Amino acid sequence: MNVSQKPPTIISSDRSLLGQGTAPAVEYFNYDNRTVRNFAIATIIWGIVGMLVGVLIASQLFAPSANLGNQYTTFGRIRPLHTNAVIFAFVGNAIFMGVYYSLQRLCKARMFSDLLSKIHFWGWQAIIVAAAITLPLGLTTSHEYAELEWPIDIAITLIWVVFGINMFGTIIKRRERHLYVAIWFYIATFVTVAVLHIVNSYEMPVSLFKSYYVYAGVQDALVQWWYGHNAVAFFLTTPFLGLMYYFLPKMANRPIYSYKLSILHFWALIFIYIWAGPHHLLYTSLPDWAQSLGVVFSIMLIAPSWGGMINGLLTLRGAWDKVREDTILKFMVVAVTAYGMATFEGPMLALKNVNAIAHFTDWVVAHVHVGALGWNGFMTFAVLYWLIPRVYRTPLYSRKLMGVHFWIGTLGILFYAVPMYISGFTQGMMWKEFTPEGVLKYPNFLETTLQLIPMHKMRAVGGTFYLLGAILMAFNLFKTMAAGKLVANEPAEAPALVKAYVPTGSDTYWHRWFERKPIPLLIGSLIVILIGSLVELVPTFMVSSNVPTIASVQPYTALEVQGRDLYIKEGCVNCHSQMVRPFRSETERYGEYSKAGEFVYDHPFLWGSKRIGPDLHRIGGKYPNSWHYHHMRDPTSMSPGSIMPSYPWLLANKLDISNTSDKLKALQKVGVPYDDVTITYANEDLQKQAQQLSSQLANDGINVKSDREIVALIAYLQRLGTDIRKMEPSGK
Amino acid sequence: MNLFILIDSGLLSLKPAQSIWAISSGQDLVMLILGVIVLVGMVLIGLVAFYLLLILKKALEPESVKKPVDTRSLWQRLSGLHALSQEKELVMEHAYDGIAELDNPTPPWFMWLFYSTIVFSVIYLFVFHVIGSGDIMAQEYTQEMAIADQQREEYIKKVAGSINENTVTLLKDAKGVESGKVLYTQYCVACHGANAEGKVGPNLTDAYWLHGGDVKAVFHTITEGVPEKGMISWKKQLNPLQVQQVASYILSLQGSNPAGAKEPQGEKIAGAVPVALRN
Repeated sequence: MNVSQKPPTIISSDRSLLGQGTAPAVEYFNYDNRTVRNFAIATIIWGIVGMLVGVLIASQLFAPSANLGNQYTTFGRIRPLHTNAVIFAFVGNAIFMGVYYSLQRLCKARMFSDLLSKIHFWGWQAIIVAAAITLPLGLTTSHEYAELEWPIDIAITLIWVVFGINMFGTIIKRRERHLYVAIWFYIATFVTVAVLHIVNSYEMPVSLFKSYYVYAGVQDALVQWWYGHNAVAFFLTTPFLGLMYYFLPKMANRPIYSYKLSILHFWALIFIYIWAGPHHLLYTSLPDWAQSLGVVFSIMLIAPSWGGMINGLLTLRGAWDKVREDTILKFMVVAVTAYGMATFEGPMLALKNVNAIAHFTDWVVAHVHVGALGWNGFMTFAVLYWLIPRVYRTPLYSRKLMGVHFWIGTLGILFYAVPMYISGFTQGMMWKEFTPEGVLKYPNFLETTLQLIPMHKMRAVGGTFYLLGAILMAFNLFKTMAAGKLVANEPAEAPALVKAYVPTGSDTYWHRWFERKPIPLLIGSLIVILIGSLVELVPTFMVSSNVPTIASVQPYTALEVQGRDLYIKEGCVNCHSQMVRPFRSETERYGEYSKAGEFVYDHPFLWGSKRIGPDLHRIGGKYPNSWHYHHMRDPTSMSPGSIMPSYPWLLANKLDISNTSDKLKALQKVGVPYDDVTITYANEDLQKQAQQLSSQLANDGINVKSDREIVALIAYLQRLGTDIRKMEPSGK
Repeated sequence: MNLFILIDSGLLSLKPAQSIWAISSGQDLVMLILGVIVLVGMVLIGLVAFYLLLILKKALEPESVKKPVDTRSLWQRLSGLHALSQEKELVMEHAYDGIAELDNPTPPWFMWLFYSTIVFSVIYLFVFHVIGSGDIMAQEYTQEMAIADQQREEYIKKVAGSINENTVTLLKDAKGVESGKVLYTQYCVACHGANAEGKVGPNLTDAYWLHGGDVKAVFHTITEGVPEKGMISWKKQLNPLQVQQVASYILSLQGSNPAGAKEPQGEKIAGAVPVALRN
């Protein structure tokens, strides 16, 4: 029996005497467990789906044919499906499950509105389903972890507001004067995710499922990684710290180690985290000052993030004998340790010399998966195992199976992370190695890719282990649910809060004051996170010297815009970067390093975050059109051993040109200087250029009609990074 | 942070002044010595004042109460932990859904970690953006390239001697041609095919040449490239010795008639090259 039937031990001497006169009458009410259960089931199902897709895309990196030969399951399109499913479906539902369970109990109140709970639950699931449909169809904005198109973005905003109203309604109706640390984290999560999502989703719609980001190039990159980094901070970290502060002491039956530490690390964490986004853009065209801010704030982040870890681990002080026996606590210990490892590694990766090796490689993949599989995954498992038997008033179906899950999951993490670290390091070093002759040792990018295949195979095995563990858990928990009966409305009682309140003792501190006032706490968190955001974003947008203009850089032609949209649709950005860094190894391999002024018409930027294939920023004019044609038809014909899938549908599909003018018009609205004539005659220009390209291909013996998608894509690829060359005097 | 932006935009450019240690006159030396003497004097006065303060404090303070004996282990003291037995005194008055909190201080090592990262950050920004010009990446790159160029020159001087377009000769030794084959496989196969039969690029085994078929012309084509036709310049990736080897290997394939050979392009240059090296 791991369900405690004992009433909770109240340690405070006499709650009713704290700052008030006579004890008020006790009120009776019910906790809503149904919503908690619903989120729990959604967590389990989406978790398995997300991990399954993960295993599938991991397999495609050594067996490209695992894309099943169709466009809807190729790596480029379903990699975003994996990240979104795991982050927003698996972890997202786990957050809501934990928040709905703990918030009610910490506030001694039922959730504010059952209707809002219902709308929140079904709305969130509907968004996930919409994502699962649109991403394989290639409807994407290409911003990592924010790929969804604008109507879904709006739906996310609405549902997030529903969640906020429900949460604040509950907090306001609470019967506990002070807000426990878990709730501070929930509030900071709510407000920051709202700010991040809204700022990062400014798009100019073209049609119902196509839009362009308002920001371009460097600015777009900064906004995206300010968002991307803080999605990690405020979706994967702060809510889980909140869950840890509630569930860990409950599971271990130990007091929280230090209240002071929780205050310090909470405020320091949310203040510092928001600044660190630019560390994703080291050695790119982002101005040096912004990169340096990213570096130093990442270093300063070590202690605040570790504050959560040591408060968690020290809470277990005096309970380590329990950890030996209780698998749930084992899950928690691994989770907290993984968090500590990842938050130490993060700042180290933000050091520029380490980043120069790790960026664009599997090292970063290993890093995020230690966090995702260890911290988020294992804590979610622990909470599920703890909570399901409680809301069903029945012991867990099999503790032995839970033990198996723990070990198979831990092994899975190891099998995943270790090969990926080796792989990342190997690749990073191979890219940089020169021979004594002063030329690249591995000039052919493919050599470095093929070297990693054994590691990628092992990673897939690790991922499969982890997935198997999750399936065991699902079986175990569904059996548990079948055996028990849901306590949908759990009776509870607490004295009502009296209006008049005189703080006494340590309650007079200003931080105690914050803890009685949810709205000032919300505003305080908002101000703290806005400082770093504004200091970085505003100058990048306002100060023109940050993006030195290049006169020869011109907007894309209509055909190239269509080609670029195909590049975005197929998710090419998931494997190819468009950012040649100022390193000798990169300028030797690719050509002149990328300048900020070259991206001023890029809505969105496509710098990428990982190189599975080579960088493409200087690909324009490097190979003849026919090379690209053959390469897309069958990559192995041009690069033997390539792991890129073939794209036969690009050769067959007719290019949709019904919206060309609309696209240019939308781009014009966001600042690309197209004149009205260009927009009016967009399709004429497009067809002319396509005709030209098609006849060039015909000269090389390739017969392809000018209205096929491949023509547009080739046009875009041949344009990439060539504008800057026009500056050079001819003949040189 | 506005400071960094100002510096970046050149409004507040802090040009590094000449080092104060670069003494150029006797006057400088006198000033420096005086400065050092004043500094030492200040430190001495500070020490004396501190000592006096200690004596005064001892004299004025009443006999202090004996502190309770610290029973913590060395480890607990270092890590700033209280003994578990003292926990009851540390429990705070609130309990949230049965969760109590202890009033433990933040561990000292943790605070030192935090402070030292802040100090690091201040120094980092100061070094790169106040003392330095803030143009970090471009400087790093120029430096890296300068070093590489120097190494390359030295190396070429050592191994390739005086091979250039005018002095290049056709290699006939098996070792040289074999090295050329390795280089060909690595760099040229993508466009010219595994047996030089021609793919995207022209056939290299027939007698027809677009840019000349003698060893000097081939050397030139490889070195400088024909950018408008997609043939890149290889002089950055291959040193002159290697270009000579590749050129020799390519010319050794003359008349080898590989399967799937591309149609002839360019002019026929008969007899300019000895057919193969198969003697």
